[in-house]
Amino acid sequence: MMGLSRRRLLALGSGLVAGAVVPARAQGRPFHVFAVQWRGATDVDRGMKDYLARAGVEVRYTERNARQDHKALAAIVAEIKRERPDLVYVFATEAALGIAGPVDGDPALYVTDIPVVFAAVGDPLSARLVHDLRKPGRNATGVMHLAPVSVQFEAMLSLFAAKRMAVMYNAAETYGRGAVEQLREVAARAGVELAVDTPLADDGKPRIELIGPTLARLAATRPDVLYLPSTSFFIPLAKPLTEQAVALGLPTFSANEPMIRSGDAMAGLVASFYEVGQFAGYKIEQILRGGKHPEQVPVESLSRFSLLINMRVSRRLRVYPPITMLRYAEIIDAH
Amino acid sequence: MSDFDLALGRFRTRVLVVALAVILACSALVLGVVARHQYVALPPELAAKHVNVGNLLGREIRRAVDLGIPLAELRGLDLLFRDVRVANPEIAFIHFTPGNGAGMTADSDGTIPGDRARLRSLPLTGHGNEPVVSELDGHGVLALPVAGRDGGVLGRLAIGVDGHYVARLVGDRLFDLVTVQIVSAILTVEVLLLCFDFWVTAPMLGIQAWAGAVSRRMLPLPLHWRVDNELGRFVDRLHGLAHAMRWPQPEHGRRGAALPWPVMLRFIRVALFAFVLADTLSLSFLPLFAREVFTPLWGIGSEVGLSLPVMIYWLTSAVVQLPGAGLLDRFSHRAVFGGGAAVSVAGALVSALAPNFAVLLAGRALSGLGLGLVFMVCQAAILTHVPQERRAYGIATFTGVFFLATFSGAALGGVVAEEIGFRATFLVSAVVAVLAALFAHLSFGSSREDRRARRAQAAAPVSAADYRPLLVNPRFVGLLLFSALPNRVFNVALVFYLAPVFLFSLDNSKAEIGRIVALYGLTMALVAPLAARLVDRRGWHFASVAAGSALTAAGGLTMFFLPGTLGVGIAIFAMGLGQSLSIPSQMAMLPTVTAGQADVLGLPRIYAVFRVGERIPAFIGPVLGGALAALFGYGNAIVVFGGWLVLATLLLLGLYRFAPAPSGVEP
Repeated sequence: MMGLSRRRLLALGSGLVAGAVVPARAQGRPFHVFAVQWRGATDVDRGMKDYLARAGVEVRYTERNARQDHKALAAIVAEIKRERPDLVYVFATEAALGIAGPVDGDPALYVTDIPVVFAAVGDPLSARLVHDLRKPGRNATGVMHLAPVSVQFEAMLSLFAAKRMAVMYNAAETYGRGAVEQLREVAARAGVELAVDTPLADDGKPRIELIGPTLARLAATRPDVLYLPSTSFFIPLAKPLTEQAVALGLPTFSANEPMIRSGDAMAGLVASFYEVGQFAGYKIEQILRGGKHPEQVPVESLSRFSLLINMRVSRRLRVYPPITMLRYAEIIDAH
Repeated sequence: MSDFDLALGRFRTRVLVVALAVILACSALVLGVVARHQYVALPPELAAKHVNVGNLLGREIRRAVDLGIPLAELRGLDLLFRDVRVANPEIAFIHFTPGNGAGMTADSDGTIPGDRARLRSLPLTGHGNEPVVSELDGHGVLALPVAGRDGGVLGRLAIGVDGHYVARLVGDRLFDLVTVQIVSAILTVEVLLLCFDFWVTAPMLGIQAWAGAVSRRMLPLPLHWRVDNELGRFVDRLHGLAHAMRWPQPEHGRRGAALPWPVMLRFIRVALFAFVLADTLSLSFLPLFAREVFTPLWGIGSEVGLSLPVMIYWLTSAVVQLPGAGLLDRFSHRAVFGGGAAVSVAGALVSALAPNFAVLLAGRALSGLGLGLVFMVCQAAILTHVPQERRAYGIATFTGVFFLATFSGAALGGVVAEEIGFRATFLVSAVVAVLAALFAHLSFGSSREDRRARRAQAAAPVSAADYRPLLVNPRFVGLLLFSALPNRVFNVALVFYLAPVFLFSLDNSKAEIGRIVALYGLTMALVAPLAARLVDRRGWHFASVAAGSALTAAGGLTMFFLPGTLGVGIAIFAMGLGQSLSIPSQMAMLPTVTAGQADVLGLPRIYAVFRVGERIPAFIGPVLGGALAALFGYGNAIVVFGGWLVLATLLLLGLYRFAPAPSGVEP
């Protein structure tokens, strides 16, 4: 060991340890991130990529779109295991569950030995993606994108002075079922009547053609507002779905930004998808460049949510927000 | 008192009166100018501000209309107006009338004048014009048009301001300024007297002592002090002259002369004043601060729990006096003062940084320990330095400065806390306590001087059995149990706990609470010396004790008829007056009431037994106040204390009517 000081030896040792977590760094090539989309590219993915580019993290992406097909996810898992990327990024709850699996999932079926960062997951605890938000307890962490259901409920009360609410949700999704449970609790406490329905077929899967009849049934209960909990199933249908609701005279409150910006939902308390993506990019940077294990990176949501109000829809329905909410709301289609 | 002392005293009084007159006249002039300026400047400033508020509200209404919301369907204006009123407490009401004849109007909460037709016809303030404020039902009302984007009128806003607001605001600020001025004047007087006594009185007394020795053809005592001015150097020369005469030395000549006792008393007074001022800065807001960090401890509810910081403070300050006496035998006065101040500073820092209720209790316990030690050492220093025949005056000075500093601390603390917050005020306390300790270190004698003085004045040793006749003396015990103790318990409960908490619940500001609580100390400081002089001259000690208790009790009972801020103010003022009569008279009665026992024990011991007997139980005051408040409410708790004092006074009167008076002493 001639010429090798103790300090150098320690440095070499620590480099070997760091190399185990961050292999790409030692080899001087771009990090390899495997990005899994659930329904094609979204603002979340763009936010994530922009953040990493601005932070100067060199990344090579492999992108796969599951097209909302659970079977496609198994093939993607097999590809990830073959490719051995430095990190896997997954959008949405269903995709995250399909790739990383639940906390007690079989390692043979899921990706468990490569860091996974998920984004736009509504409730990772209920979905059993992690053990604990502050300490995920596994090789996965990520970013939530939804305001708590109770806070969304309060916003609906203020906005619509609601006494009766209708809820259309995707009962096939874990998050949707959990959100309805929470909503039932807060509505009972506030003395608000709740009508709940889902466009599910007999095979337990949601069907586009069942959305119209479901909306009609809910409209018959004469609610003050229609609430749409977050689901990837509704987002590509934002425009036709919300147009049908408006045609039935239903003002819609959504948990997802695209329903209001691209569709005819009247309002929503939402996190910006682009900012959610940026936050996910920050977590990826902490793992790839900061050398942190995902277990050390808490699952978090943005600290601020935006109240979006689509005034075109408001004028069409003649349902107007109170002047106090105009002070802090982001107005869409003001004129 | 010699003619020389009287002449010196008169000269000092004149200097003081002139200085005070100049200070107060200048202060009054400055305050008058400030008040006048505010009276003149505030109304236009407020009107300009309300024009801005109205324009902002108008802009929000216009924006809602521009977004396509019909005026008739505009929701939430009442909530918007309420938010504005919360942010601008001077606004009494806001009213909106649409201009298109729509039936909808919107009001804030608050008092809206009944005559709506007149409210809607008040002259409008045009854009960019001087504000037009109209008078309506005791309000100054500003009427503003709300214009639409196309220039059409959407409606009109009326913003009403309480007509007495400016007077109240200026009055409040003046009160704060006057409070600070009074405390400044008190501080100035203390510093002036200190300077006068050190630079003038001490050398003059040195000349007097020199003259006395020379007239006996004796060598004057060598001086242990030196004043570096013309008078001081003159005294040095006189002593040098006497030495040149080779006269014989007095018997105790080798010891030399300490600083004259009036000057020493002045040093003790200033040190105690600064320390008590520091310690009482938190007096008016302590229960309010406790409420901020309160968490239920050991299942105790908030009413009793919030009294714990006050209780533990009094408990530790009283309890430490028993073992603390031993410290005085081992350490110098300045060392014990420094130790007490250090503990007190630690207590203030712990309180300032307290993250929870338990830590605050620890901080207050330390502050209480500090106060107890400093209280004890100052008392001992007075007994050490003041000659036997002037000890009553010394004790009166001690009591007077305590209340003067309590008033100053409470009044100033309220103002300071209003400006910088509770926690920062504790830090200010710590700094002032450090300054007090530094002053005491520089001015108090060394341990050698203390020991020598104590030896010179030591009384004969007594045994525990010697105390027995005192403790079975019905008049002594009656005076303690039926006057001193209930008065003290009521005092601690009202001034330190019930009044601050109750006044806060009545929406008084911290400065207002400080002023009302400080009324007690101010009344005591101003009335007690005058009352004591009158009562001494007439020999009305017992009548004064009974009348004082009755007056204090009457103040408490007033709360039954006036259960509000005024009632609390009257109760505190009555307590100040009543205890000005009763407390000095209790002390003055002790020599006669304990005529037989004083010969054996000596008066200092009797005073000590009396004070410990009254102070140690005083800690139950806040807890008892808290428990009574939990049962009957804060106001009625004060009434119950008043009732207790009535009963105690009746028992005292009965006891003194039937219990035998000590032989040879008139009751």
